[in-house]
Amino acid sequence: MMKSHYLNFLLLINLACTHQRIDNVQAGFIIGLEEVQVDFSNTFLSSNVGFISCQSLNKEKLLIFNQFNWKLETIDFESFLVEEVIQLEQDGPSSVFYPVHILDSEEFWLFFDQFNFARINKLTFEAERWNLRKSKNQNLEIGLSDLEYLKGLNTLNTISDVGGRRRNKIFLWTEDIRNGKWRFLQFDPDNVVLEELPSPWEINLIEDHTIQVDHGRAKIRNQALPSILPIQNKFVTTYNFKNQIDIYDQDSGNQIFKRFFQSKMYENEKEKPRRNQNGVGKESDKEDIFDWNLDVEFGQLYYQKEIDKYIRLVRSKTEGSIKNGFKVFLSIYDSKMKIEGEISLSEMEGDLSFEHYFVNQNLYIKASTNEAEDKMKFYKLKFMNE
Amino acid sequence: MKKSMFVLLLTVVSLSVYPCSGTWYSCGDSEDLIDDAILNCCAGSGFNIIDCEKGSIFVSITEDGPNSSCIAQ
Repeated sequence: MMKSHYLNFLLLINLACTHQRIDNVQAGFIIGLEEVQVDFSNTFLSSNVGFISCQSLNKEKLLIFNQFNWKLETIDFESFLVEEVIQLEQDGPSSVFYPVHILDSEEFWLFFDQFNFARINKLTFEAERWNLRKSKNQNLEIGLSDLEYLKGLNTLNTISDVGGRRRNKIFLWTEDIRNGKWRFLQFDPDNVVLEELPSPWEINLIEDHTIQVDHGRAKIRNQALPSILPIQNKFVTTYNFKNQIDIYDQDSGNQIFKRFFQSKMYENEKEKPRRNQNGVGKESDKEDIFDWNLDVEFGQLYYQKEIDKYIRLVRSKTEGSIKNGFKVFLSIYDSKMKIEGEISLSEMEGDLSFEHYFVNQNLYIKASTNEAEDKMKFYKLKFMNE
Repeated sequence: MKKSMFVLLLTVVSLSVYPCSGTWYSCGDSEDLIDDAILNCCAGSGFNIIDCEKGSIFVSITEDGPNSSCIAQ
């Protein structure tokens, strides 16, 4: 009894010192949120603006593209400091374009926008760039069409070749807005070769949620997206608009698992765009897209090695702004995608945004309020055994 | 101080570069970004806009803009 009180006392002292919030979840773990602050005083980054990021090659840091001073930098969540990696050129032969995605590989830093690819050699700092469109790059056997855009990507970088060198497998997904066709491609960044693979998603789900607005000489679309997590010989697919998880065999492309989860804590699907009798989209405007954005949103899936579970965040529907006025939930799944627990993180900490980063096997959720632009406040999700 | 520098930088970036690809951040002024792109980008250009309050949209340009490099050529 005495020992128990002593342990509780130590726990309280520990929590008081580290600003942790704790709560229980049914999966056999105590869930905690620990407040951490990253110092932005030596960089142009602002806690008010998002940034393009990926995990560093060793997965210990967050590699970011700083659009304000065109630098690759890392956020170290151990020291809470930002460190410069390389100053990028904006003009000239060594320049790169403004990326949408960046990746860190053994030999190169990789940059992608909607139809371009660039790489910078880590030893020579030589920059090379390619247009991934077939019409602009005759060397590509398989390339993007003129109105086909890169919509997302992910990597599997635990593969070793004969020489023991780590290699990245990069998977891209694209959409041709002329015909609504989506493609799933494997990309070899060393040889700049695309290979088409069977698509690991349910296209009718995406089509049901697609909103397109004609805007003079432009088209505006919402971002109804699949997110694909490559794991060994499988692809685990989630959607940002529906509480569904699919699993596909990597070789055959066959769907081997599908489940539409029914949570009682939040809506399980965004409201579908209204269609007229012909089944085509009604006369939409940009506000319809914004309303769709503000509806419930499902984050991507992460493998939390420490507890051998998969986790993801869900944001409830919000009115008026994606900055505030919503709740953030955590869902925990076992290796067979059976749901093991669901918890409202907002009940533990009311200062959560939905912007989150997975680095060094930890999920960091950005605070919804930051007192200064030079300090970026995050909440680190912690799992402790009961 | 830093905030004012940031706003200055953002203004310089906005004035000097048209959003023909990439990801652009806005706070209620996404319409201006789209209008700039329609005037200055080539058909086939496409970019994301992330609005601070309303979330993300994707914009694709379907005709060459009158001030774009495609027309100039």
